[in-house]
Parts: sequence; C-alpha cells; structure tokens
Amino acid sequence: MSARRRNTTRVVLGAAFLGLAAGGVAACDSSDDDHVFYCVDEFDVIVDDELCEEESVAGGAVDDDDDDGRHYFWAHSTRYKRGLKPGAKLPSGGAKFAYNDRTQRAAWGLPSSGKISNGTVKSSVVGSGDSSSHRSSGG
Amino acid sequence: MRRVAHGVERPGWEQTNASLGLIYNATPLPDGRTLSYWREGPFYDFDLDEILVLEEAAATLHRMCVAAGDHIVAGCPRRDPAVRREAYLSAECWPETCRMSRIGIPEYVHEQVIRTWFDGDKDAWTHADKDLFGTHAHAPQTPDYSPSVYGRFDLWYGGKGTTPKLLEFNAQTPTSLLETAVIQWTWLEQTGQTRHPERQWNAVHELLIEAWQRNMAELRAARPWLPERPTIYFAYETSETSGEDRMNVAYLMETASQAGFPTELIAMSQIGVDQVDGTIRFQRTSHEVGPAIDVIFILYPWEWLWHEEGGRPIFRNMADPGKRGTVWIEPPWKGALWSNKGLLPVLWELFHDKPEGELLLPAYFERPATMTSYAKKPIWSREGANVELVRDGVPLTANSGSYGAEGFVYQELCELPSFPAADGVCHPVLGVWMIDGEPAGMGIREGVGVEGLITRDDAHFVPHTIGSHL
Repeated sequence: MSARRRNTTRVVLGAAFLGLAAGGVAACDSSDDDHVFYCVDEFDVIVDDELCEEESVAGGAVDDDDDDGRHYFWAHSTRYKRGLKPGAKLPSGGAKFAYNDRTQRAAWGLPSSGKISNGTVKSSVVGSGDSSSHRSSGG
Repeated sequence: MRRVAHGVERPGWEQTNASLGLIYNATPLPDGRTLSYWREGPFYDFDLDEILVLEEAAATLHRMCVAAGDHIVAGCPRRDPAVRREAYLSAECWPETCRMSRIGIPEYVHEQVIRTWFDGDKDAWTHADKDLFGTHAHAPQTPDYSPSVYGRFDLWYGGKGTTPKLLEFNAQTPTSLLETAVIQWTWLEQTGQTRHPERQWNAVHELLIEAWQRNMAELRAARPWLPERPTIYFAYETSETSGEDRMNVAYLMETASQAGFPTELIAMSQIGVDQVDGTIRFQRTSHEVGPAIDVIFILYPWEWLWHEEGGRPIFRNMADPGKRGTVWIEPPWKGALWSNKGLLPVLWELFHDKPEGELLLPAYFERPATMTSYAKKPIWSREGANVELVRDGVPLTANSGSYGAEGFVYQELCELPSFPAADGVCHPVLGVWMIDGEPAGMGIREGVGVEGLITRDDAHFVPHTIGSHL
C-alpha cells in the first residue's frame, strides 16, 4: 500500500468549468421551453390529427369551421404531457390557434401546413423524481 | 486524529471557493438564517499511520462489497440462464426468495443488474442471452463492459488505536466530490498548514482522469464500433436549485474532458426515448430527433429512475441483443447491489465471523430483541433522511424525511466521535473516496450537537491535513 499515490500534484480546471462556476449557462430543462402541440376541438378535447390537416388555403387565418360544423385548433403549452391520445381533455392554461392559421404556425417555427408532430422522441421521461422538495440527487 | 479548532483563515475564502465551483456554500436553515457549509479555520489532522489504516480498511471493504454483490446476485432466480430465456411474462422474483425484490427493486431491472455486474467476468452472460430467435447467432458476442468510476464509503473512525467501521456506502451518486478534490486541496495549498511530505490524502483529481481513460478504453474494446473518443453526456436534475448537483457533475465532466473525451452537460429531462426504435437520445428541443447517446453519466438515483416512465424503455434499450444500447454510468448494479442500506446486513451475514468483519457493525433486516442501541436506517434514503438513533432503548435523535416505504435496516449504534467546538460538540464522519475501485482520498463532514450524530444536509465540510505542525 505504501507505494500508492496519496495526493495529487496539481489541480487544474478548464475554462468551461470555471465559466460555470462564475454563473455561466448550464443545461436547460427541456420541459421549460418546449411546447407540446395537440389538435383539439373547441372544448379542448384532443381529436385525430387529420382533422387539423389544412387543405389548400391562401393567406393567414381562415375559417376554422370544418365540414362537420365543428372548430379545430392547435393547442399548445409547455405544461402538456406528451403522448396523450384523442379523447383526452387538455388541462387549462394552454394557448391555441386555428389549425390553419399560417401566421401563428410560422411564428412557432412550424411547417406552414399539415400535421404538427411532437417528434418521435419522448423526453422528460426521467428526472424530477423528488422535485417536490428540490433535494439533491446526490448523497 | 485531532480537530484543530483555530487554523488559518484566508481573507476572501468564500469568493475563492465560489470561483472554484463551491457556489452552494450558503445552506438555508428552517428559521431563515443561512449556515456556511464550508468550515474555514478548523480542520482535522491525521498521522500518516492513521491514513494507512483508513486506506487499507477501504480497500478491504471494497473486496467485501464485491463478495456481497456476488451473494445477492447468486440469490436472484434470474441468474439462471434458463429462467432468463423463458420467463418473459411470469414473475420469478419474490421478497422471500430474491434480495433485490426484498428491497423493492422491480423485477424488470434484475437482468440488467446481473448483466452489468458480470460484464468482463469469465462467467459473463451477454446480451445475446436475450436473443430468443437467434437473430444474432451468426456473430457470437464477446462480453460487454460497464464503466464504473467512483463511490464513497462513509466511515466511523476514532483515531489511532480504533478500527474504522463502515456506516454506509454511497456507491452511485455521492456528492461532496468537488469539495474533496478541489476546494480542500486549494485550501491546503493556500494555507500551508502542514510540512509533512504527504500533506493531505487526496489523489482524487488525477485518479478520476485515469479512471475515465481506463474505463473508456475497456468500453471501446468491448464495443469497437464506438468512435475513438465518444461523447460522454453528463446529466443532472435541474430541479435541484442550490447548484450542488450541477457543480459536482460539472467537475466530474471536467475530469472526463481532461482525460480527452468530448463532453456535454445536459438536464435529466433532456434524455429522450425514440418511440420508433427505442434509442436513447439527447433532446435539446422536442421537435427534432437529437443525437443518440452512446455513453452517459447520470447524477440521479437508479431507485428513482426505475419507477419512472422512462425506466422500462431505458432498460429495454440496455438489453439490446446487438449490444448497441446506451451505456450508463454508474451502472445499475451500483444502485441495486451497493448503494443502499440493504448491503449492510448482507455484509454482516457474510463476514461477522471473519477477521475483516471488524470493519463492520452488526446489521439486520429485522431488529433482534437484544439490540437496544441502534441506528434505524431506511433501505433507500439520502442525506440522513428518516434515520433514527436509539441508545439503550431511548430515542437519541431522528431526522425527518419521506423515505422508508421499502423498509429499514437496523445497525448497531456507534456514535460518531466528539470534538468540542465553539458552536457545540462536532461529530465527524469520514468519507473515503473509491476511484475506479481504489482508495483515492478523503472528505470529512461534521454535524454539530446531538442532531449532528446523523450526518444531514446541514453538516459542514471540514478540510484535513496529514502531519500538521499546528
């Protein structure tokens, strides 16, 4: 055991670490700034995405009244859970715009027409296991 | 071992520490006051002989923990290849027959605990064991490799003439790493309170760099398709707002970076599961398909993760017969076999009648009637939460918390040593760091007063020296 090195010679820290220590930007919680989109009816109940598929329309917001007389919207919020199925009612607190409102779609960086995908990758599936107390995950 | 109460105080020490990453020094108290986490002035001093005793104890305890891990795994029905092959839909593990089930580890986790535990072993089983339809039979697999970098034994020690005792093993998500490796080392260099050639037991920084190099080389040997220097992701829980988790992970990431690997600091919530192919990805935003994660370190307890939505897909990905699943550091066996209090009764069962058993305190899942002075510890808990100390049948002190649903263990009471100080009697617990399986250094936490007999989140970090002249 006596041959084992028992202390370090020098501890050097890089600029990235020291920048973090000085209050630099750290990892962003994806759930803080990513909006989740759902196609909903006027009662905020999720409907099939196809009902929000725009047919050829020109210009900005147009009549959002579909053939069946109902109104469809893209509802979005950072607080919506991913993976909800048609029939589920979204919680209050989100925003929405007419499914064919191209101005709004452009403002959110979405394709100008067609379905809006929440992506094939589901994040926020781990973490915050003890977030109620903001306790350390370490020990 | 002695406590030097009035050492050098550096002017501006708080700013110096913060500039090195200790940005979480101010610990808020329930009454609104704040407490300094770092002790500036006092320090503990050891003879080299005492450090050698601690070093040897840690190395021995590590070997004992390996034996305990083998014992726990051997008792799991899913250790049997035939069970693994056939029992897809049936439950095979029960609290009466499987130690992992007894401490609340879901059965779907057991196979990957066993697989990562045996990686690299001659008795290893490979991902191909799950290849039911022989899809990969044309290419027999070599064993995989599951990197493991660090852990911390918490020891009782009363100085020369006493034998260290294991209190617990923080094997998966130990913190106070930055304080040990960087802050107390800088304190030593700036205060110069010892002229002994060994100065301080602290080789953590360099051994971490070597640990990354060795572990990643082993991983590449097992998975040669990985890039020569794969990106290692480092994830932490962003709801922890003091900065402690962030800076501990950032420091570990810094050592990986100095070892020559590209790194990325991410939030736990940015770990994504691709619904199409099951790959684990880094999701900077949700409307894109982020890069696949080859290797990731998480400062996040497995015992939380495997009860969450992402638990099953992550373990399914880990079992990929093509050996292409994400590699997780620390591996799941660290949480399941070592980093819980269920380890303590197993160690006692295996070693109580052997010479190395002197490093242990008697510990049991069920408290014997004759045991009247004991520490009651939840199987899963952190920072002393829900720990209760009882002396001669009378409660001594207890810490509140929300743990204990999976049960408790009972460990014979061994009250921490006492050192009088201005703000009360101080009780140090010695945290001995194991880096890549070797004793590497020490960090000391001390609580104050009777409540300080349990090392809680308000316990101070106190630096140490070897052979101080003060």
